[in-house]
Amino acid sequence: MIKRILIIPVLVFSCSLLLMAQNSDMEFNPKTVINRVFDPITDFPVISIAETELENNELVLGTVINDEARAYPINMLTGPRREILNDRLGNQAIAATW
Amino acid sequence: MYARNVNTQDLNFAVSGKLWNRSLVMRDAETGSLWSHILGKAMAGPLEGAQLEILPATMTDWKTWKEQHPSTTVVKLSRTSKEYRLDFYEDPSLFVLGLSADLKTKAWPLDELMQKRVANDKIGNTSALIAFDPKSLTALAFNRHLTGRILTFQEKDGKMVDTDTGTTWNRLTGKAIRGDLSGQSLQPLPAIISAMKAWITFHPDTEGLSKASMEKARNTNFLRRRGRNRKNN
Repeated sequence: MIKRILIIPVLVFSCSLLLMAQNSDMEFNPKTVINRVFDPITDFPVISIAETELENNELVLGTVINDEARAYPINMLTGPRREILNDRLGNQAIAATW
Repeated sequence: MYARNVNTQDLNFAVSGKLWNRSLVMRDAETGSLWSHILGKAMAGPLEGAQLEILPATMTDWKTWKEQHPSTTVVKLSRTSKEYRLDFYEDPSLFVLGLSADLKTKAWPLDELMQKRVANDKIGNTSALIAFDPKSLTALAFNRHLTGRILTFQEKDGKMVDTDTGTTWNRLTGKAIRGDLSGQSLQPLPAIISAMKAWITFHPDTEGLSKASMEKARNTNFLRRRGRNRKNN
């Protein structure tokens, strides 16, 4: 009888421990690396194939929206203060990031 | 690549100065909410729970992109790095093409795609074509559903052909170039290229990866080794 009474709380307790362990994996606990507010990047030049000095083997993130194509060179997109370009393409507001 | 609107409000994003699981956290200037960069999801702040729509985008080299899209424009900024060139994929087994659809996530390791080149797959209810161009190491995902039917694709003499009509398709644009379906286009799916390690951290339930390949990715700190410990994807 005592065994039976104990089994249920023990099961419930271990199940909740398991659930907690799973959730803690994805708990939002960001670490502050640079403590300041950054301004969004919204204004930057956009040029043609003929005008760019980009080299053939450089990686780009390319997208086509409503028949408008644009390439975002990864070597210009990275860096702890950059990372995200707020753009508008094919009449859609987009955040170019990788 | 995200659509940066939530309902009708356009948001402007910047880095937050924070990292979560070693991955970038974005902040929108309008509400100050904090967003996971890899998930596109607001994790804290007034918009918590909101999800940005991922837009299809292609990671490829400049030569390939301008050949396929001759009217493209290109962003001009100072370089912040020089290392993102074709040889960036030093070990393709550490990278995946990852896709979320119908509440499921699935990933295809680049080294497997290099062998297969064309994969007919299914994720949730979405019939997906995973196409790989070996020359430019470009991986893309398309919907196999086209005007009432589901096409099946194969690699044939270096070309991508559907087995239903024999039409030849451009795997970098999803356009039919020769055959009965000429002029038709496959709908691109919003798959992303990610380091496998980051993908499995943020999508622990992902399908498509073997235990061995995930174990290898977890134990390889290639970003740190190459002096790139700032972020993970």
